[in-house]
Amino acid sequence: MTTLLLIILFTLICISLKKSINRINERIGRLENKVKDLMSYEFIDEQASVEGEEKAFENDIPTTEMKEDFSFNEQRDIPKVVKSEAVKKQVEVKRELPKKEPQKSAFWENLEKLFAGNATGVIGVAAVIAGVIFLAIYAAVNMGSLARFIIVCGFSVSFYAMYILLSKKDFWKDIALWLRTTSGVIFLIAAIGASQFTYMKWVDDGIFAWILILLGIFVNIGFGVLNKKEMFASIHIVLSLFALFLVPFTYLSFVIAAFISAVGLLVALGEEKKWDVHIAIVNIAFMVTNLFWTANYFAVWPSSNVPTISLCLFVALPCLLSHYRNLYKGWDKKALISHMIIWLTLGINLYSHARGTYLGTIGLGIGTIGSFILSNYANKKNIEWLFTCDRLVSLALGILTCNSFYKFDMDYYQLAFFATMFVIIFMKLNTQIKSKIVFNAGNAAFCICCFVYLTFLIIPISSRGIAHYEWFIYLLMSFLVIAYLLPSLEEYARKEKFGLEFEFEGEKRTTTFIAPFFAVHVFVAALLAASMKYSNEIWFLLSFTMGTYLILFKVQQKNVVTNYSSDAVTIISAVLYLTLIYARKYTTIINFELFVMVIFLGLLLIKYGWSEKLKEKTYVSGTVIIWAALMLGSYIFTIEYSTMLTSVLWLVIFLIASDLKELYVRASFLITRLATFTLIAFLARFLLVDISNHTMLLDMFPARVLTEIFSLLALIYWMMSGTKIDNVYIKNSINSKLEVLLILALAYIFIEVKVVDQGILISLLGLTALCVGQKLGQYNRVSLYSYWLFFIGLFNVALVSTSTSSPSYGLLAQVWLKSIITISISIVYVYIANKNYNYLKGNEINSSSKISTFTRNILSKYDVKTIIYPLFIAIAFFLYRSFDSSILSVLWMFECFALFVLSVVMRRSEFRAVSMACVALICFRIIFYDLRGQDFLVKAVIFILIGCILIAMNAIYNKYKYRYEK
Amino acid sequence: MKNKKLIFFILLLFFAGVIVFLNITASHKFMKNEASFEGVFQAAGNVTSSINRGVGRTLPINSIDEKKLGDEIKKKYKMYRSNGLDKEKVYLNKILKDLNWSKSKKFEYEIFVTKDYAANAYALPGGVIIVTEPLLTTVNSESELVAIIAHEIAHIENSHCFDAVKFEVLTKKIKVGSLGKMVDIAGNLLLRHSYSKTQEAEADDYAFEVIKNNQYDIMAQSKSFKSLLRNSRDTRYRGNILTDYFRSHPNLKQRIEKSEAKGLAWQNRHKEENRYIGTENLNQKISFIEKDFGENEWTKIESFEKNDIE
Repeated sequence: MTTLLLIILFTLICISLKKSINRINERIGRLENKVKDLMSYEFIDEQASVEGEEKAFENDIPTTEMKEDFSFNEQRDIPKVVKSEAVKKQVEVKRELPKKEPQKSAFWENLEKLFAGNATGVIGVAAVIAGVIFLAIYAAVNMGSLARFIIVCGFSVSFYAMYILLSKKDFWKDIALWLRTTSGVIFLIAAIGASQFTYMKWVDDGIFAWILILLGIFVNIGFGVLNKKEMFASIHIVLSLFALFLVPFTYLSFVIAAFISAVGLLVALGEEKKWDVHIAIVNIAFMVTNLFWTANYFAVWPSSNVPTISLCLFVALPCLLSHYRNLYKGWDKKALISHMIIWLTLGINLYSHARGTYLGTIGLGIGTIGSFILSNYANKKNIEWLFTCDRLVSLALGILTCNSFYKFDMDYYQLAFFATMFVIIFMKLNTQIKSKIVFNAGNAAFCICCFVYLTFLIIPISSRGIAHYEWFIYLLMSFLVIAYLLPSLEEYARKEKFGLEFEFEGEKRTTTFIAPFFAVHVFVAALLAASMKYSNEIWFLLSFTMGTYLILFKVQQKNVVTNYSSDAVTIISAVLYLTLIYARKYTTIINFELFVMVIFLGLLLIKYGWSEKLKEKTYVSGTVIIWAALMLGSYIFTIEYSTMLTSVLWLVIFLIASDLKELYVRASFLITRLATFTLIAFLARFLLVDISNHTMLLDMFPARVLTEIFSLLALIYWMMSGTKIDNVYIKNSINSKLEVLLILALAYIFIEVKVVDQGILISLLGLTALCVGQKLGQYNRVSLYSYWLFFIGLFNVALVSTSTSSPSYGLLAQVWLKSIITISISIVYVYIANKNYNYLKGNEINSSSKISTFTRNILSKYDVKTIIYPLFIAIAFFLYRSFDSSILSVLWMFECFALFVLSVVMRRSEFRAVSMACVALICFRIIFYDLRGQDFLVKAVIFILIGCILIAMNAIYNKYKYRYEK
Repeated sequence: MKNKKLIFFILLLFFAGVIVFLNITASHKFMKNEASFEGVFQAAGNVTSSINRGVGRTLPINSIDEKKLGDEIKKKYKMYRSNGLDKEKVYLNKILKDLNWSKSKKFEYEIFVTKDYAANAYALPGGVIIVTEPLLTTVNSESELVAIIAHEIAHIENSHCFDAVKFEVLTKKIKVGSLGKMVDIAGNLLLRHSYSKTQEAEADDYAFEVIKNNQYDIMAQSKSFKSLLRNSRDTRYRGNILTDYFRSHPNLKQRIEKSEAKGLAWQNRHKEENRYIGTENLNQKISFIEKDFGENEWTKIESFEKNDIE
């Protein structure tokens, strides 16, 4: 009976809804017609609306014509008259007049009409729906499990019945499909609930429960398949997979999940259209399912990984192969993304089941070869994007395979060696098929791998002292492989114009990036040989010969190295010296001698370079060498005293470099770059080393705080250098510098300051940014960022710091006090920002960066509300978190009162409306929530206070309401 | 303008000189020079942690829900886990009671002792703290134990544990707890690593404040970490961007350095103040609030001079 009643009620609601929708559609149609009519006579309408201002034109136009113009309702063919030249001129002139704002009374009138005409109906329907929901809840609470199950199934059946009814009409077809989907989903829920949900459980037998669940899934997938639409299929498959989460996990669940996914994929493959999104979604859903179970039910998995991995492949392989159909010949972004997702999910799935075993390496190896072979297949089918994609996947998988060799107890050096060798061989294999993307990706990968390889090549000198014998073998092998493959690769790059582009003697050329790395490789190897105890001269000679071979080769090719060979040789010599300094850092005074030698070499190069035009490049080497020596010296000569000194000295170098660029204008570009590198080096060292140092100075504060302050001051000094704002470029560079300063200051706050204090400092930073921005004028975008700092400060007060507790008794440690300080700073911010809001809006700020534009748009669109409302909300949250329920409403009422007063002061009626609405809500809260179980005295106080506030609001409104009208 | 700039430059150089001087003459220096991403992760975790906390505070769940959850957990532990360890449980709960002043959440805290092979303590939502039996033999004094308990209290007070199950608690209200659990697991998988170290550091700071405002040994926290490090199987530490990221806790050596630095600084500022260690209290399982074991248990001013920095 109840089900029947519910169905009838639901049908009635639908009918009433349909009627109202029809009525609204009719009205909209009528309105559209009217608007069209009006648009066709737009110029006349404008004329009518500015009637009062047109007297100046009346003398030029015949009175009869004007009368005809205004009577357009009666005579719609009037435009002929209007098109006369006199009127056209008149219209043009009038269009320049300021537009009249729409009258508010009309709006209210419309609103009233809307409310009386439509909203009551909608509210009535909503009330009936709410009634039905309550009835359903009542029924559910008072019935047994089986009856509840039947009710839910009843809903499913009724939805399906509605689908049958509605699917007959074309207009309702889409909605009908949704109804069928809903029906399937509800049935699935019922099927699972029958054995799993406490309030619906009526099946105890395990097998029967599984049968019911499988039936639910079957129906659900069936509906998905029948709908023949990609989106529906995805929904049904995903829901079926996630339904399995609700069932206790067994291995069978995983098998079923794999089959569901496979069915989902088969459906996609059976379609003539591309269902890329569906394929990707099914894959991701399967992966999520897999990961969820793997993370939660590790013990339930079988000891052998092979069946699980097979199931993962069972799902992934049809997906992978799906893209090799003729459908995919053209370029398709969606298909590419889908294909990448498939690879990614396959990788993650395999990884999740091959952890700690060699299977992972084998799987990755097979993946590498498989994707390589598949790419050839794609090439045969002329599917270019697929070929490129698979080759890139093969490259990535190959590198990962090399990385997974760590399971065979290999160290980083060996892993890097294998990765480097793999990439260069991969590049060589790629020369058979011309693909610029693949070649360049290989090139980039080679550079990264080779960089890592070289890094680990150097490490043993300092950390282990002596290199192992096997290193020679690796070194020699890498040497030979690179030397053997390099010429052909270089030739290929030059011929096909792949790789790095550069200009030589006015001609555009290309090269791989490999040559410089190989050069460094040669010299590092030489260095290694030289630094070893059983120094092997033959090895050194071999390295040297290879180096010479490389240079000669480059000379022949007239390549980049030829042009800069002098620079390269000097820099490499300096690197040799510096490395020696580094290698012997803890030994003797020779260190210092070497340091002096390097500086001397640098100075010589600078002097020599500046004297002759042809040799002017040598000053570059000299400057770089001196800079590198100073940087390294700052580390080596101070490390024994304190680890914190390096960063400070680097900042001093940065400071000097900031000034030097003005003194030596010729080298200013280079010095600027070196100063930037110094800053980056400082940041890297600070973040990686100093940040973890907890030395306290004067038993008061961490040593790093002084470094942080110094770095900020150094940045301010850097900003001051060259601040004569005389062109846009310098103005923009100040912006960038200010941004760096701001980011660094923000980072320091996050590093050093506790969460509860962060709000104060961030708001203060925001306020400072606003003031600095206003002072620096129109070319500054920092004031725009100040808004976000203000916002973060308030977020901290509203949701973060107020929920943090402090175990300290001290007043200064109290969270509420800190929140009040933050709010006070924010109020000052609002005051200053509001005073000059047009500036904050950034109409005058010349910046096209995305964040600036975004901020400017927000500030312009929502006006001063953007700063008032966040403050208002933050204060409300702060009060909510900090005060007891009984007094909370009163405090909120005070806050609303403040907003109300602000509305009067600022003449903003929307603030009044908001404050009034909030007052109404607070009154509700007081009546229905606060007064439960409160003491009479508390009740009396609350009522008196709130009464006073309301009276005050009323009095203020009556006295100053004229302010809203102006 | 040029003169002002020159003065600023000279002042900056002077400031650099002061920093160098102070660093060289610092009384206790930590000469750690290993590169590690931990600090960066800890600082960056502030952002995700704040967002996560902010999201948690906007959900319609509160300390009453946490209390309910805590009651359920307590019920479970009362039934299964407290066999044969009653004396330890009573002792620990007395210590906990003495630390009640530091909490602000409106539910009762309770410690349970479990039999486990590893020395560990962890907090659960709703005021449940679990201490494993080996922890009681790993630490050397009551003050170290207090440092650990205060750390766990901090996790509960700052809702770290509750935030990890917020969606589950929320969705339990509408009887689809497993859905919320999934969201929590997904959220924790994606984000938790980014801020768990931040939360640990936050809890360490909180615990240090608790010790500071108590009568216990100010070096108790660093000592407790040292005790844990001594008993830890894996004492190796190699900085690695991946492993650093996926560690739930900051490196123990770093935590020792941090708390030791703070403790030493505090000691040097309060040379007159003696603090209680409580070795005998731990041995006899009698809390400091019940019995003061006399002079030997109070730190001596001389002993501050010889700290045991490793």
